[in-house]
Amino acid sequence: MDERLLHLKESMDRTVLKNGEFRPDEKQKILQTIRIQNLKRKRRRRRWGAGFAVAVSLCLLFGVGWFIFAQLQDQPKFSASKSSLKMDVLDANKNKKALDNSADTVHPFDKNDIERFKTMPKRDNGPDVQAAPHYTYVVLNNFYYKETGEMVSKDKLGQEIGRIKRAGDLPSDQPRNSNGIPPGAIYAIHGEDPAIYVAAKGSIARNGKMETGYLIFKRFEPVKR
Amino acid sequence: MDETLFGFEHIDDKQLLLEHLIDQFGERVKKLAFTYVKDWAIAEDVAQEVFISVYKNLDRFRGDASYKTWIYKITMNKSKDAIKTRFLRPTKLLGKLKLQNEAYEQSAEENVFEEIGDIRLSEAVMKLPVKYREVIMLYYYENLKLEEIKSVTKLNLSTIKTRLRRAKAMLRDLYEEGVNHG
Repeated sequence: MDERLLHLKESMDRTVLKNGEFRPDEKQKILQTIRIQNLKRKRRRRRWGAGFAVAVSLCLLFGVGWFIFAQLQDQPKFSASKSSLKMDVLDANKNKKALDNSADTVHPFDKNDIERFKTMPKRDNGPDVQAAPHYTYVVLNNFYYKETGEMVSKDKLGQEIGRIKRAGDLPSDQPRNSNGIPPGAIYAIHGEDPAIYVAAKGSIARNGKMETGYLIFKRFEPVKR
Repeated sequence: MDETLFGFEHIDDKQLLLEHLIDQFGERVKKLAFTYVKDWAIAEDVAQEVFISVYKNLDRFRGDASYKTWIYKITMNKSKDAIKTRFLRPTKLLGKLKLQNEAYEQSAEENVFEEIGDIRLSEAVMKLPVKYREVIMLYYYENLKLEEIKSVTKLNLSTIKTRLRRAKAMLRDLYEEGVNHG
């Protein structure tokens, strides 16, 4: 038996496995099947790729849209709509016409008006309030403290010795505490006489840019009433 | 010549490599599949499935086994699947084998004694239970070493040797049976 089994291949190839040759068409069938499967796989990948690209684009679009929407929501309320802007313009035009027709309107380039302007009574700020100084000031203890153009660091500030309650530089018939510093505290300065030097938080132009900090003010003149 | 690697290690193109493997192992795969399914049409289908599976897994083939043992392993698995899932039933198998036998018996009458011996041996092998037939085929027909058979079948060496021993004993009986009936 062992001897016979050593020639098993020849025996079987001559008999039961006689028809077992692998034909060329069988090979082609395999290669064709693989080609079709590859094609199907590529098409599937392309579909997925396109779908993915569309999904990403939609997400980006949505994200950008949301961002813009959020930005618009944050803008100040006085960004008026078109229709209200129109109304404002119309109102302004009406007012302009009314002003034009009014006898009190001053036209800078009209000679008669210039003469009229010269003879017009001066604006009266009231008997108790003098015309505001032309320099930047804070008012403390009935004195105008004039801005020196210098600043002091926060660690050199002393205690709060006064407050700016009303500020502004437009004509008013009410006394003001400052014409250039926003409402806030007035501080003493360490090592300085608060009767002479005080500090308050504000901004000044320096070296071509605005700087914010604690500005030094020096007593200048009494407030005349 | 190492037929398992010769000419293949420098082939980068997957399809080209597959074609080489088909050329090298196509016939063996088909014949090995036939010894399981005993039908040439099904063996052809199995061979096709084997090479499609080879193509799909070529990237994963690490080269720790040879192409031969790897492809034979796939062939055995696909063949066993075909037996389980297709319409081939034991009665049909026997019927097909008989047809095969008749064809060979007719030619055997015309041929010399040696061919009768070939027929009887082949028939005896094909009558063996699958687990004995496959070790006989792998060892004697495919000339695989015991280590290679171990790699293909995942059986331990002692089991393979035991099965070979029992298979030869069964073959002796089947061959004698053929002699007595023929």
